[in-house]
Amino acid sequence: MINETMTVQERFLAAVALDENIDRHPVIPLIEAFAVRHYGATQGEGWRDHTLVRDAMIKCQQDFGYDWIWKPNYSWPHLPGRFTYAPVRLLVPGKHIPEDSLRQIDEIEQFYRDDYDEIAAAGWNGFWNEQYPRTRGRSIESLKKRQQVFFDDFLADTKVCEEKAGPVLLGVAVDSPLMSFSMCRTLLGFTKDLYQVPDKVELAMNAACGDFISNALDSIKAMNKDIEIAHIVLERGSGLYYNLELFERFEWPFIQKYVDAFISEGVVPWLHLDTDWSKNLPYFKQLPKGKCVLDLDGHTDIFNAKEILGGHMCISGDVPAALSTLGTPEEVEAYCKKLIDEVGSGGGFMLTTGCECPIDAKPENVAAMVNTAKSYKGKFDRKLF
Amino acid sequence: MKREYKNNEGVDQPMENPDQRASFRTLTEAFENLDSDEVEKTIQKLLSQGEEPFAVLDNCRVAMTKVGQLFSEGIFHLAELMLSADIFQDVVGILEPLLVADGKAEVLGRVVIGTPKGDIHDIGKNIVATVLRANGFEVFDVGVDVEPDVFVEKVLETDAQIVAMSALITPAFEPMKAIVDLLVEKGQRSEKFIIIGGGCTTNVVRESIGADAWTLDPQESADILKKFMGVN
Repeated sequence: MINETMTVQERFLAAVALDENIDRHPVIPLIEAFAVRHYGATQGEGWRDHTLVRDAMIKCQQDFGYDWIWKPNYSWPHLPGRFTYAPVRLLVPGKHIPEDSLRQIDEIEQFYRDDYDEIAAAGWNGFWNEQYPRTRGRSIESLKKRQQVFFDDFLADTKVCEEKAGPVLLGVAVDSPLMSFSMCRTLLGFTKDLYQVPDKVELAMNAACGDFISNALDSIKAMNKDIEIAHIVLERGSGLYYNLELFERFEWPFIQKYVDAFISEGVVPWLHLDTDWSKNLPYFKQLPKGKCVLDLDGHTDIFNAKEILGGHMCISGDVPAALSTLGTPEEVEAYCKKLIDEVGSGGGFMLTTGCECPIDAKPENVAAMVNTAKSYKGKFDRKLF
Repeated sequence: MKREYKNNEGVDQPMENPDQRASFRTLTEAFENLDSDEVEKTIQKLLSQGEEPFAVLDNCRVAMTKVGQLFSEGIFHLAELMLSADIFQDVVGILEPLLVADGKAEVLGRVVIGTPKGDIHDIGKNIVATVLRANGFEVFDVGVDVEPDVFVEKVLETDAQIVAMSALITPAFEPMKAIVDLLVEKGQRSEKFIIIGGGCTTNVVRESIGADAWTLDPQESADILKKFMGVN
């Protein structure tokens, strides 16, 4: 095993800062549903009892030995009434879908084309104060009460995790305006909006952006964490979905605003990129050097990302879901070594799963990933980078 | 996009009548420009001029196939593919009743497509279904979160030659394999072509469940299936 000379927190910050003198690369499988299943509980049980999830997360980190617990329970918390993402309808195991299914999102229209004007006038928070009761038939006050419970439970579970196992990575997760709008309008509906009423969409995004940023910052500051990390959720704005002209108008300016705002408040922007962002990667060179994490899910070529952004941004990723589920430990080890050699060369790398660790990942594959990170230094001399 | 055309470029089949050629080219351009109003207007114009519904649909299919190819080449994106697929669905809605009346609904093959049990994602599936229809296949969409026996039942009921499965999350892998195993159990496997796709799938997944093909590209799926059916 590699001789460790840093704390988990020091190692994380060194990786973000592109420090080549890091003792080893952080290893952070993004584990949520996997832990609950691995320890014999159903997903429904986890959704009904947040402490069951918390205890599974603790045991998982203790048994597998990775650096950070990703989340302490199933919540994605924010302050009451301060949405940092689309208030989508979740299909909860044991309630809407079978007891041991993976929770899923029921993507239906949450607002309509006419509502862009209201968002532009009222902002994201003001809009949802009125829209939530209209669409869900429940008062915003009743929602806020539930959200306060979730927020308090998240903080309490985080504290228990940190006392018994290790630090918790997630502070707050925040969608870009494009991501949230797309989830609320449905992908097809939103795409039609972009092509048919682009000015309306842009006005609404500009009005909503400030609320997304302040909601995220206020939420994470209320958590009193030593290292504050904002997961910026990016998927629907990628070069897979839209051309660069649309990206430059409807996604990129907001990514920049988020990053600037978060960095200025001492929060680490963790840009989580789902789907293929290969065409967009050169833009990320405009972000401040050594301040952000680019977290890839396996669809963007991570080796190409290293060529473009190595030495500028910390890159994390990307053990593929199919490999974790169907592969062998030897195959996982080989892939992790390749990542460490090629993406980790010179520092600025974190070994993670490509997005969430699959619920049905083989435990021996998770172990192989962690063990490789903790024992393999890589074949290239970092100082040659 | 404004173009210069030579001879019979931009149309599905040779046309001597220049007005006819111009109208069909307008249809192709409208498709590629994602102009749903212009598509509908041009279709109505062509039909009122006595054009055969099947010829109009064929031209739309060519345009849709071209959009698919532009996506494969990285020129078009998922947005353009989705919007053109949406336009094509509207076109089918206008023309299909006329085709049935004409009795000219020819198909290259029959496909049962769905997202297996445990997964409710459908965006990719819906796009592929439309692209396959545009390429001349008859497509039976069984929806999402489909039990293996329900999936197979539809395959047998329609006597589909092709089984297409889409998934975005790994819990769908086991149901995919169950569908393949059920076809083996019923002695039907050798007669069917099984293709999979979707965000979390890979060629390793294809091998693991025993499918014949895997792709993440809708137009490529149509090309693979045409080849299987012996069509150029």
